[in-house]
Amino acid sequence: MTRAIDLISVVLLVAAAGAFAMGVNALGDRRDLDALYWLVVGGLTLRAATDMLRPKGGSR
Amino acid sequence: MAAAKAQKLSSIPARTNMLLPGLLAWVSTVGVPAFERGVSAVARVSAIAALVAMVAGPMLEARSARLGRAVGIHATLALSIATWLLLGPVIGVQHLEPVRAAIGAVAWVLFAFGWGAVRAPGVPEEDPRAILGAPLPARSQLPLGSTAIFVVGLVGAAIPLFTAWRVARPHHALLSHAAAVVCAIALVQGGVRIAVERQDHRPMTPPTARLGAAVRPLTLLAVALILRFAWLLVE
Repeated sequence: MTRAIDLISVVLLVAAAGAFAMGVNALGDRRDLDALYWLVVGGLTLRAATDMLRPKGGSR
Repeated sequence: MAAAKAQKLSSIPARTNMLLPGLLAWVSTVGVPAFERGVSAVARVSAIAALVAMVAGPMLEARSARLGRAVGIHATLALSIATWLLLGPVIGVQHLEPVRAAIGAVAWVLFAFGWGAVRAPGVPEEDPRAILGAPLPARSQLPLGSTAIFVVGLVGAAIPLFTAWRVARPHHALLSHAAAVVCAIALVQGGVRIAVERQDHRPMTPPTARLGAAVRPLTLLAVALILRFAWLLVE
């Protein structure tokens, strides 16, 4: 299960990269609202990927 | 004499590392715009002076490292910036060629790396200044696959940086480059953390606790994706 969470974290990292690229790409296509949406989604995805590394109350 | 000759020969690759990317950067971002029609003579003189400084820097470094760096880096950059300021609207975003500009940006990065220095080859403990004693082994190793995850983060960071060059609208182009840089930094930082700070490094934590730690961004992400789906249905 731990490996699965690690894998999800990596998949979320890839998804964040894709979302950021789509956001910047949308700016080039004059779709400003889409760009904002994808940049926010990218940020949330990356945040989720890294938050999985630091469980609340978990020892470091 | 032979040692001096060997040292001179060994410095040729180092000089090439400094000069080749520098020349590419100069041609693509300084030289070509400076020699377009209607550009002032002062801007052209400044551009040529930047080129002279760029070539002279590595040559001077053999005699004096400080002088070589001052001329090869600081004078080159100062003269290039002066040229860009003198060029004014000629290098405006609306006149920018994306491919040439992208090549120039990469070449400037390589120019900076070319002037960098790496540790001399050899065993560090053999250095006369090394503190002798028992070797200090590493307390832990990197988790499995950390290099691959780091590469994923690095490649992911490069994608928005290159995508930003597609934006043609002047103000939006600037915004997209700024956004792409922020995204790239965040991706590299996130990739490094995922690669290094994984579960292998610490006492076992229940997977549910790890998922629970990310529940807030995951919930917001789910809401965003549902809203997107609903928007697509309405459209």
